[in-house]
Amino acid sequence: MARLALVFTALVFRALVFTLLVAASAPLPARADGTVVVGSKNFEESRLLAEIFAQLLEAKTNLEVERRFGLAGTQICFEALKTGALDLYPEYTGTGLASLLGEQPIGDASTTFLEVRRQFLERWDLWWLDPLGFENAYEIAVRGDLAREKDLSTISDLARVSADLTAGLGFEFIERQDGLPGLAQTYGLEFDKVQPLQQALKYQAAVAGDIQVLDVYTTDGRLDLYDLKVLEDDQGFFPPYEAAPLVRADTLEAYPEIGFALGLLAGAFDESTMRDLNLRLQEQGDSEATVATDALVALGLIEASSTTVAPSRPRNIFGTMWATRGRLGQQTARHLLLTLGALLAGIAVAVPLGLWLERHRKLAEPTIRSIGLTQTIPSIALLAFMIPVLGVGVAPALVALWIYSLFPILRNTFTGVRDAAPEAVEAGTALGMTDGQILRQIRLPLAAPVIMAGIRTAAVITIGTATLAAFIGAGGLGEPIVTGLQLADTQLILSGALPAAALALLVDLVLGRVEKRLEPPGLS
Amino acid sequence: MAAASAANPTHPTKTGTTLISARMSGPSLSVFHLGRVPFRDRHCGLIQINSTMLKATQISKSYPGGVQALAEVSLCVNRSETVALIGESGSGKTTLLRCFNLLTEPDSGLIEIEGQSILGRDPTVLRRQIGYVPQDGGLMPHWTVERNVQLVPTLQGWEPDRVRDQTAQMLELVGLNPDTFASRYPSELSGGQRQRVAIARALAADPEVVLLDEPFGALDAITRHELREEFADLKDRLGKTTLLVTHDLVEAFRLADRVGVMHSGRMLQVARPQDLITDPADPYVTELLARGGVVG
Repeated sequence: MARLALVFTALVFRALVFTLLVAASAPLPARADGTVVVGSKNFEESRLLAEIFAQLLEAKTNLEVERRFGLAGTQICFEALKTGALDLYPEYTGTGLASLLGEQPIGDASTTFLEVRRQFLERWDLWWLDPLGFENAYEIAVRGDLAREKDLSTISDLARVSADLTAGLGFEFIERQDGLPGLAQTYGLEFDKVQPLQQALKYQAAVAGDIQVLDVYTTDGRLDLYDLKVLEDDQGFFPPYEAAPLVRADTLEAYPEIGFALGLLAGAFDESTMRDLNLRLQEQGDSEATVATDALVALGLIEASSTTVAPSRPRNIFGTMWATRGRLGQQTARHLLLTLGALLAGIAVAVPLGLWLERHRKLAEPTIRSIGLTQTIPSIALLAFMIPVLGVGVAPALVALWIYSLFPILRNTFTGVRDAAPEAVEAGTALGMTDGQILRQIRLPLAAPVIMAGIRTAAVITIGTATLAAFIGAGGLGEPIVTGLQLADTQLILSGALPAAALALLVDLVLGRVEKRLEPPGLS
Repeated sequence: MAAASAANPTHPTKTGTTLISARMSGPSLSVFHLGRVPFRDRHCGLIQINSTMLKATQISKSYPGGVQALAEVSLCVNRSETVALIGESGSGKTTLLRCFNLLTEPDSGLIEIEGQSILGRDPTVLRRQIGYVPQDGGLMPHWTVERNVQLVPTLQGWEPDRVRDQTAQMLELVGLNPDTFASRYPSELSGGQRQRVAIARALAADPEVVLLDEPFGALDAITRHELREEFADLKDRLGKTTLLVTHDLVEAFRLADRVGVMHSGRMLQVARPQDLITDPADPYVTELLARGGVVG
């Protein structure tokens, strides 16, 4: 019996989630006419290229450009592109070949490019525009002193001594076939320890001596700043990684001007230019918008506008927040909106469900427990699950936050109404109150503060989790946090984290007042 | 009354005559008239047939897990009569009481009020016509005394003015000054005051029948004695049909016209208090009375 109830509840829950997913995904194709969505991955060069694309499209076409930057990794970006949540984003041919097509290196840059262009069009109806002129390959670097001491110049040299070394590698690199697994196989590399690290943190870890080996990108501006030796890929393991805009073919068909505009960037950047541009983002605190404008002006593709004087970010946290107050305000508003939307939807589902379960006690525990399971799904994983169904942006973030908000509200609603003054409930029944009257006049007023406490918990959880929404392009206060993490910029991280914490405290305070207000009279 | 006779097949002739004679005669019937002659019912003891108010016939009730709370129990309570149910915890007395307002539904048997079966009737409509006082008072903690007392009249859709007047009257009836107490919350009352409010609430819509489940059980000895005496007085004045569950034998003997002794889900005897003492139907009755300090 209990098992049957459990199965039933699981089914109901699944149906509910499915319905919601479908309902929320419905508006996806109905994008405004003449709008193109540009995406990027969550590292600075990807964001910069995407911003360059966006500004160029704004300058050369009549299209509205929507920016969805900082999506968490290749898979999420690619899924979003396939489902139409994005129209284009900057991608690298080597990543397309090895990571997305799952093939071995097949030759030089142009062979690789033609192969991915052919296969992407055939398999997914996606089109690679002409390469931008530079490669940003994965490379392996070691500390300079170590290279000199052990006389290391190739990865094969490294394989001789790697057993004693600690490698600090990017999360994606550790997993990708064209990353550590393939590399280890090809060269027989075996490290003493592999430490997963954010790109920006690797350099500091290397300086501190915590790691000796790291994966770097060709165009990473910071390579010049530290004493690092880039090792030669003497067995040709890494494929060529030419950067190029990857666009949906149907978007190109609808707006061929995208092809003309971005075609202007063919061969426009070389490695050293990109390294300089990246360095401005990484170490000088310039915004990608400023750097992108400067790059396009230097190419003669847009006019220099006198108003965009690039303000370097002030070097203290409050100065940073003040300088970015306009954007921060928008991000806070977006953050509140995400939280509020998810919370209201959570209340709309969890409170009635809790009341219903009070009348169907046998289903209560299995239902609440299975909804409790959703709390154990890591937030970023939940967000990633949403991408194939809901694309990127606000919709999947809302659904994920909604799911997180359910449990505390449901649990408190159920126990609140269940435990509300049983003797008063029985007397009410005995004197002829209907179930509805008992619910409205006795159980709900008595349970109101408990339900409100659940909503309060859910609100604080949601505000915290909503910072992760930036990983799938939903904006909010997570944006400066995510960008700050990529740049290892503590101030930028704090400029998002402090308002988020303040918001959580404020909301908790306000809802605490409401909870107090809801306390029925006579209960002292 | 027709239903009462139908449910009482052992006395077809007598009940039939009762109906005819009742129609022919005025209110001041001679005690020698056939219709008013008391007779002995198999289940209900000595009763007058045309005055049965509450009647349970051979009801049984088992709870999940196989505990039998009631085993073919029968009971009659006459109009304006007070019957007390006594017995140890688990004897089934509360379960039997709860059958009369359908808080418990019996597995088998018949429950009648004024000769009408109540099984299958809308319980909420029925319950609004029956007063109920639980041991803990069962007051709504977030309602004032006034609102608590107004509950049933409001449920019955009385005019607001009439509800207000009635509330004041009821509070006075149970010895609480409306001006002082109407706006208080239950948490601001003593235990005895709370039970007074619960009694006022039970009586507010002027029900024919009042069910009391250990109404004074949670009070200290002095308050209990005080309330018992006031209730005895109130009962005589109002003449309600009253079923009272108690484990206090002194209380039962003081308040009840007849007392039902229950043990392990069975009704051992229903009789007037003095008859229980002089003519016990079961050794357990004597034992219980001795333990309860009534005799011995």
